Amino acid sequence: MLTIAGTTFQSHLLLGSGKFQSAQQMQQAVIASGCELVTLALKRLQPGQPQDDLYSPLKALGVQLLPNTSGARTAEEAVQAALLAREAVGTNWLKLEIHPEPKYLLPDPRETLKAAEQLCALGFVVLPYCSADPLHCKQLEQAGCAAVMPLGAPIGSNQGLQNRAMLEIIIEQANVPVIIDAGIGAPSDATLALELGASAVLVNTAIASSRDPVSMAQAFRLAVAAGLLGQQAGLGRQQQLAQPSSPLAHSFADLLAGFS
Amino acid sequence: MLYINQQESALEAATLAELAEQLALPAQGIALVLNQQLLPRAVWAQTALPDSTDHHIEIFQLVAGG
Repeated sequence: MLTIAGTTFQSHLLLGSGKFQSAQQMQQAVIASGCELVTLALKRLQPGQPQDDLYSPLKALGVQLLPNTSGARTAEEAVQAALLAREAVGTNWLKLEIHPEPKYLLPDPRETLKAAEQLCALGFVVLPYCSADPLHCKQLEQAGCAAVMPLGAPIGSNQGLQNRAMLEIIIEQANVPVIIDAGIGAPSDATLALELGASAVLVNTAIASSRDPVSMAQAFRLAVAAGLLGQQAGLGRQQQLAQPSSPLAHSFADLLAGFS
Repeated sequence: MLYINQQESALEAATLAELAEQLALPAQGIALVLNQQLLPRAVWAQTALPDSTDHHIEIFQLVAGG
């Protein structure tokens, strides 16, 4: 079970709703993934253009909506986006994300921490997309964030857990759930994240950009379940030298003397 | 004059609720800012848009995103 700010989820997989070929495909992927938290973005309405209602169909699936602050370049903009998102979605849960430069979309640690402090004071349940920096994650936790969401690799890059060593330190030190966000490219990456002790993973591009997103969503569901079970079962210790799995005490040489 | 998301609009509405109806805004998943004030849907019907002055309206909607 995954518990964030007192709310319990069965699934340890969060899904991003972007980049799918259609709203219907996204909803099918949500169902196949078994996820209970789905991220959404906020955008200025274009008058005259058709509006896809994402709210009602996702609510009908019984998932909790997690609006993000994508597009915000500063703490000030993120706080404004958060207030709009709270009104639009009717939730005080928020995926805080501030990534001012488009090439690598890396989170701005200074603005993220500043926004997190302000949003926590305003009563938001803040889940920040953040750098895989153990000290920074600790500061976000101390600011009152309900979880931390360090990146495995740049958003949408499908590169996997490039920050593994730092993620392990973050996980070791955290007193709030650690959700690996961004960069997870394959189901095996998600399994590894859970095996390393992460509480959950947030996946979008890996599923939406695959050839068959609905099947991939199911693959991630199974991968996260496998990783979680592995985490709970406790991995065996790694070591330098071989350890026999079969008895080696008796040599066969004496038993078959003379046989040819 | 009404400005919707920084564009002049030819629409005429006595209240925000009327404007929302004309724009066919979804019942949920919308945030509306009038003259830099975030106004919850509950007050739209009571929020007049008198002709005597300009009104700057920003409307945001939920879209897919990661």
